[in-house]
Amino acid sequence: MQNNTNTAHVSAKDLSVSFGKVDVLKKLNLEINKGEFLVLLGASGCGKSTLLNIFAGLQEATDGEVWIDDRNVTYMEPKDRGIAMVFQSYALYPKMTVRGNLSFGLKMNKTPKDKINELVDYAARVLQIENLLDRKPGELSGGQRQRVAIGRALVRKADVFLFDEPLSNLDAKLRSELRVELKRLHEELGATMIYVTHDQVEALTLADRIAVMKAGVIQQLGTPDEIYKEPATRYVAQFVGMPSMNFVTGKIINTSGGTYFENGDIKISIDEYVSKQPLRDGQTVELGIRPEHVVLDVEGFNTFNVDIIEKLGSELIVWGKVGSTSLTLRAEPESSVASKEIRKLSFKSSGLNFFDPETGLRL
Amino acid sequence: MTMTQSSSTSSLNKPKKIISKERIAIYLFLIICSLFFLLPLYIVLVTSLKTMPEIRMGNIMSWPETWNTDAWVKAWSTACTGLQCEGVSVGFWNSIKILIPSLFVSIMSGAICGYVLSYWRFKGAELFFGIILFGAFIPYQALIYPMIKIFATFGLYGTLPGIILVHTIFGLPIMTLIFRNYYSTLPSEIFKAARVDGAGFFGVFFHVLLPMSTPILIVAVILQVTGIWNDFLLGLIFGGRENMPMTVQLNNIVNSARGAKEYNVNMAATFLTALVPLLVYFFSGRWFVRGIAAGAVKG
Ligand SMILES: Nc1ncnc2c1ncn2[C@@H]1O[C@H](COP(=O)(O)OP(=O)(O)OP(=O)(O)O)[C@@H](O)[C@H]1O
Ligand SMILES: [Mg+2]
Repeated sequence: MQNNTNTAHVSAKDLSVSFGKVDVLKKLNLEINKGEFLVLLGASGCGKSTLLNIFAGLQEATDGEVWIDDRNVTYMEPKDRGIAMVFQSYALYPKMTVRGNLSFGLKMNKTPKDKINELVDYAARVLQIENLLDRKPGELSGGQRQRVAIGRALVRKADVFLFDEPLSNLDAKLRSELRVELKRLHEELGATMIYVTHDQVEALTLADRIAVMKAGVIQQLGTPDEIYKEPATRYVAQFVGMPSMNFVTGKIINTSGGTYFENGDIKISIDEYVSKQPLRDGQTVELGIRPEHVVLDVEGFNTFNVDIIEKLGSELIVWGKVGSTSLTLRAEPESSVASKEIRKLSFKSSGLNFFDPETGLRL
Repeated sequence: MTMTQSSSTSSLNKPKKIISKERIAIYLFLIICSLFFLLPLYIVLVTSLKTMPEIRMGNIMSWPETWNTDAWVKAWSTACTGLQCEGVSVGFWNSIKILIPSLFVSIMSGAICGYVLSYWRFKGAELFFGIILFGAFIPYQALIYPMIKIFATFGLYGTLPGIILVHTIFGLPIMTLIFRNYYSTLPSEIFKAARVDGAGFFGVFFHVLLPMSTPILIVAVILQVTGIWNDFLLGLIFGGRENMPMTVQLNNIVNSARGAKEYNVNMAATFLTALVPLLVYFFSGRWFVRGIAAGAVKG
């Protein structure tokens, strides 16, 4: 509602979860600001749902604490935490009408009847499901079901909304529609939202900040821009971005003429690269460069054997090789590149990333 | 015009029914099987409708000369069981008295056990479930004496609450099993959603899960109605004189030592006793299959 100021700060302190010998979360720390849209991004099985369930109070942590604002909620019931949750499988109550589904939580906490109706009508209006209120979930399409599921969270007037891959069961078009709607909802409500997904497009478009998880550890926490432009690890670099970043293993060469990266096929001047620690002469490193930073350039030094071209409408994805080094690059749709052609290319120095091949950390 | 056309095309398109040799063999086998099982029922029915002189003529398969329902009336209301001569009607009402509460209590406790075991997983839940299942395999005979002792100590022996408790205990393993299996097929996110919505232990169960349990409730009702109604041993031992179930009463009539054996009355009493489970199967067979499929053993 208009005067909604419900929002809260959430923090995970040294959270660990193990099932027997399997450690699903490992001493995880995470601070989520008031009103922030935080996306937990990671591959299947990395512990995203587990973390969300712990925030919700649906699962117990083996160790560590959860705080919401200044309350330690680690041992609190889900209903007392001021949270609402939307699930991947919608999880609507099949025997209740849509109205019944929306009002169930309110009935449980003994909200007066007219207040329930007011809240349900409000949520139905916001999500455009007013004409579905008397139907059963079985009579709805996937998109409508997910709207109802979001509505059920909305009526709870929670401080924190938890979403567990809410759009992953929908087709691409519906997904992008609901994505926009969620974004708008977040702006209207101003509530804190924690959103789990393994879809990087969702993450990049929705998030204020993204936490990239791998095997129960947060690899990087940052704005979509930071995650995309300055990935902290090789894992983050290859996980985010479509098509994936190019990786080339090679050596650093320091000469009086400058510093270079070299792998036998390509040689790039890296004087402009701001590294966290000095790159030593002869050090083995992994170069990461996104397809948009590899450009066809008649004045380029590298001979590029074009292999395959994918036409995506708004852009071309070109696959090919420099010597024996495979590279992918993005090109303008009107560029005149053809498969099996031989072209020249160069690398934009602003797009260079270097990783330690052993630790995977950014150098 | 269009109507006739469409109907003629549809009849043209209909595939010809081919009755193969295998089919005929299968049907023949099924018919023989059903005859085998229906024959005793037929004999019980026709004998109950005959008069004693007709029965003495010895042709048990023959159709009754006249339909005579005297034996049914006698079996229901005046046949003697030892000293009392009130027919099986007393037993019928006793069985109802035992059945209704036992049914309710045993199914509810089984459902709640199944619910706990599939959603509120506690430490040692697996072991607990194993122990409950193990209970299903202990022969009654091994339990009866200790149970009599325990029940006597608590003053439950030979009382209605006593026999209800006995049925609940003996029904618990199978009830728990089918409900646990059914609930483990439901998506756990519904349970989580209800928890977030503020439903507590019983809130989730009564508002969310029970309405979704119709198929398995039907299976449970069928299993328990037939099980409890057909019970003889437990009713005889734990029911006490006041609560003798219909099966025990039937036995007393059939084995009553006084006078000549009245086969027609015995048959009528037998049929009356079998009527309740028979009707249950008759009206719910389809549901039963559906429910068993829904709660198919899983996990
Ligand atoms: N009850 C459980 N017992 C044992 N292991 C479990 C249990 N629940 C989850 N796990 C394990 O914990 C890990 C993390 O599970 P989680 O559901 O959090 O993954 P996720 O990141 O949400 O994956 P997805 O994207 O597939 O939903 C998985 O490897 C899973 O096998
Ligand atoms: Mg998950």
